[in-house]
Amino acid sequence: MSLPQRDAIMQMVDVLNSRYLRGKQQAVRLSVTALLAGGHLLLEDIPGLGKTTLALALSGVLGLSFGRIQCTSDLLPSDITGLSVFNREENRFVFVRGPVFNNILLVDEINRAMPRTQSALLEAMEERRVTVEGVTYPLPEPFMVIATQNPLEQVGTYPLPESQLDRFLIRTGIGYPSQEAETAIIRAGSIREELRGIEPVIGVHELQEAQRAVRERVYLSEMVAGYIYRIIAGTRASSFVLSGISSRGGICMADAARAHAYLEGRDFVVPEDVQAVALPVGAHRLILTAEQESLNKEELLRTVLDAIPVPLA
Amino acid sequence: MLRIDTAVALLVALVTLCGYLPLAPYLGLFPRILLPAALLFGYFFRRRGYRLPNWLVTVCGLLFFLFYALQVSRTNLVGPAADLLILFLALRLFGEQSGRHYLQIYVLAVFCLSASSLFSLDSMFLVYLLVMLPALAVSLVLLSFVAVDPDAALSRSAMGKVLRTAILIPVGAVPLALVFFVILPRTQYAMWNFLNQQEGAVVGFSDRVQPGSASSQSEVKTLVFRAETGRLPDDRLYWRGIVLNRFTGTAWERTAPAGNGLPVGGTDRPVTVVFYPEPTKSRYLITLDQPLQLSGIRSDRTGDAVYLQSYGRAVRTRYEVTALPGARLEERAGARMESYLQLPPGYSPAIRRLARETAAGARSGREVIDRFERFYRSNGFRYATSGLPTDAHPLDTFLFKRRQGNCEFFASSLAVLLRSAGVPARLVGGYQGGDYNELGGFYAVTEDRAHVWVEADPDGEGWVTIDPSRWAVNADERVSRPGPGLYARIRQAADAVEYYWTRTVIAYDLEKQIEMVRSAGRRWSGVRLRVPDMQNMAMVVVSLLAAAGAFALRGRRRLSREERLLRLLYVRLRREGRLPADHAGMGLFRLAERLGDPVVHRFAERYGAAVYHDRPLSSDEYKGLRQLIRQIGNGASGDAGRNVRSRPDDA
Repeated sequence: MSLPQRDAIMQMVDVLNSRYLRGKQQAVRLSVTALLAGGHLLLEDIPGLGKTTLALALSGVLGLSFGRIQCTSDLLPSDITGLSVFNREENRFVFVRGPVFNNILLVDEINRAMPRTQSALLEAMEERRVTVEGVTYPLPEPFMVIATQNPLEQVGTYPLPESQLDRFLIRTGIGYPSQEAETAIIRAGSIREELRGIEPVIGVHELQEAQRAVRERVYLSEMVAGYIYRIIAGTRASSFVLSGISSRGGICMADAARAHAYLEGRDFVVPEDVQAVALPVGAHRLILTAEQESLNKEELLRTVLDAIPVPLA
Repeated sequence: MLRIDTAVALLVALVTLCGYLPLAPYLGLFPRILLPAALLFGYFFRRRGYRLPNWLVTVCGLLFFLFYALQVSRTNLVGPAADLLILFLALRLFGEQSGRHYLQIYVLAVFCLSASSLFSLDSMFLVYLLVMLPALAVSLVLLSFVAVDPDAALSRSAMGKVLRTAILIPVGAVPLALVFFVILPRTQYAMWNFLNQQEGAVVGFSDRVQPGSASSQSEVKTLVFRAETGRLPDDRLYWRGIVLNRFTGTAWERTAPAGNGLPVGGTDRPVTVVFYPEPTKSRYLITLDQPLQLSGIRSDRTGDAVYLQSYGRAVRTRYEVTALPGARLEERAGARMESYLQLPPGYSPAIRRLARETAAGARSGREVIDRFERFYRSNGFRYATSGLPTDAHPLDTFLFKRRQGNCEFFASSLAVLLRSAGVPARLVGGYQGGDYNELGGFYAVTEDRAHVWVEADPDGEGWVTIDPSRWAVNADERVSRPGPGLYARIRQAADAVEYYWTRTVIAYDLEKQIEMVRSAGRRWSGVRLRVPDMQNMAMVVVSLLAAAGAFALRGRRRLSREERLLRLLYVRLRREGRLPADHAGMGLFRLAERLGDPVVHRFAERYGAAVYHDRPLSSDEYKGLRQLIRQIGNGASGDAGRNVRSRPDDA
């Protein structure tokens, strides 16, 4: 049994890892997982670790259209969605599409945008269409938002509300690369120029086929579904958590686990797949009680996860 | 963490104590002190590593051996040997200690415990044995650790595991011990004490009553016998031992008795008493006054209702007596009673005069006895065990001057008075009273209960029991005993345990058991079963078996194929020593990744492909997976993986 397009996807991952994104295997893997599961990705880390590079490289190898928004506090919703401009020659308003009408949308420093703008963006992410002045425009397929934010910055930022964080399938950091990788990166210098000339490895059709395979061909057994349920129920039972992972969180976890299994070359989900995606999918969906806000959500979720027996038979 | 050498040292001390304590009462002073000293020495100096050098230990051992070898004689064999054993043990404790020396200590301790059974068959032997055997087994196991690494230490749980394993050895020996218990011959006496008895002084009951031979009577609380029976009134508890019928002027002795009495009257129903006497050399068997018959042991009854054990037969320490307490012993008609009037010629004119005066004008022998009773009661005779008359004519002194004495004086004087007055009389020696043990339902009778009383045949109607000691002004003091305090109750409980030990272990008798089985068989063959009964019984048996089977299989049945496979996998990995400690929270794929074993990985893939497809394993898959498990750790695991892949295709 072979999974459609898996070889192409793995080749793409290889290219990313070996040529452009050294020392970011984990982040690349999670990004591809989000891509395959049809979800959005939130990269959260300090500046200069390659968040933007990752987003650029990913869109580059996919051969998809790419849009980019650099968020500032005076960014308006119309700067994202686009707006109607009066065409004097034709004597009518013409809709000029904003950057959101791309397959891959990089939203840099999303927490610097005003809530109003964030809200417009997040609505587009969820609905996969944009309504401007009464006209609804569908967004292209596939559509994926890669947002980045700097968790340390406090001044002049508008932290995303939990309800909006929920729209991201995966939130992950990038982390410092290993010593050798970082040395090599320093020696090679910035690769932004190279990224501009990146060759697409995989096309839109191939990607859509792979996404369909993840959705339809990878089997999620009752046993593993029960495991996911026990995990989200476990977060709800924790005394540190005000509100645990929602049902949508559970669905997201299952989707991500499917994508992970696909990457592993299996047409069934095993508990290890769930374990691999549980933290990136689940942690940002937890809302902690006021007294416990300083806790690390990932550590908390890991504690819950470790307490749940792995279904084996 | 528990250091193994510490554990071994503790066990050595325990084993040594188990050998020493049962033997301690029979040891000489020197060995008795030296062994605890050696234990304390070991305790304080073990850490500093101070030891007596080996050559010194050997020289001391040789000297001790020579010293005790010189003391050995035919009659004094076991004592020095026991002393020597303990001394060797002590020397070993002083000396350097390694595996070999520990083993020597163990062997010596076992010898000591065995030697103690030559002196006493106490139930404590079982306690010491039960402590010693597991301790030995455990320390032998631990010694094997020490042999590999003298500084080894075990965690608490590992130590627990070692202990559990080691305990299996003595537990496994229990069935064997039970078999030996049934088939091996045994002695009912502690061999050495039994052979050695003539050396000890005879206390209490004796076959010669000589009032005035000592100024005081020692009271020893040594158990003489236990008598299993219901509660009886105190004045009926006369345990008959011996009858003394000849007075020499200074002592009462036994000669061949005249007459042949049989008990008559007394309580309505005969009482059955089972006696468990302590080992003794005496031929006289204790019975209850007045005995009808004695069974369970070969014995001869003499005409005065005294039972003598026949020699040359297998000894048993249990016999049954049927008795009529408070009865008269009626002589057959025409019995010659003159010998019961015998007194040495010219004996004590004063006593004869007193007898004549008291008996003058009496119409019957019974009245004579009543008059003597009045005499004793009105003259304030006191019962005492010290300050006894010891001059040339002790009975005269007792009757006319001191008026205080023990039962020997009361009985002797009354018997002499009766004989002087023409009433046939004799002395009966035995025991009076006893401590009733409610737990065991038996009387425990100790040496200090030894007693002498009088039997008289006043009017030819039979021998009646007269206890002149009861006529003393302080007779109640003698009879009444302190009530059962806490200590007394504990003593009673301990005594009951000892009693059951004697009954079930010491006096155990294979013949008796076989007889019991036989009689049970006879009774069974008498029962005729009707067919419905058989069917019912068969159904009950079958359902019981089914229930037992279900209970035994309860753990297994619930395991599915998948669970069994997983268990097999874990067992296999554990045996290989590769199972991670946290495997419980680990999926199979992670486990395979952690182990880096391609066979485990293949197992995970194949197993997961079925299980995580919600599909039960097929038989072929199951077999293949089992085969995979077997291949884990078999040489080059890569090859193993390939082999397996080809197998299902063949099948």
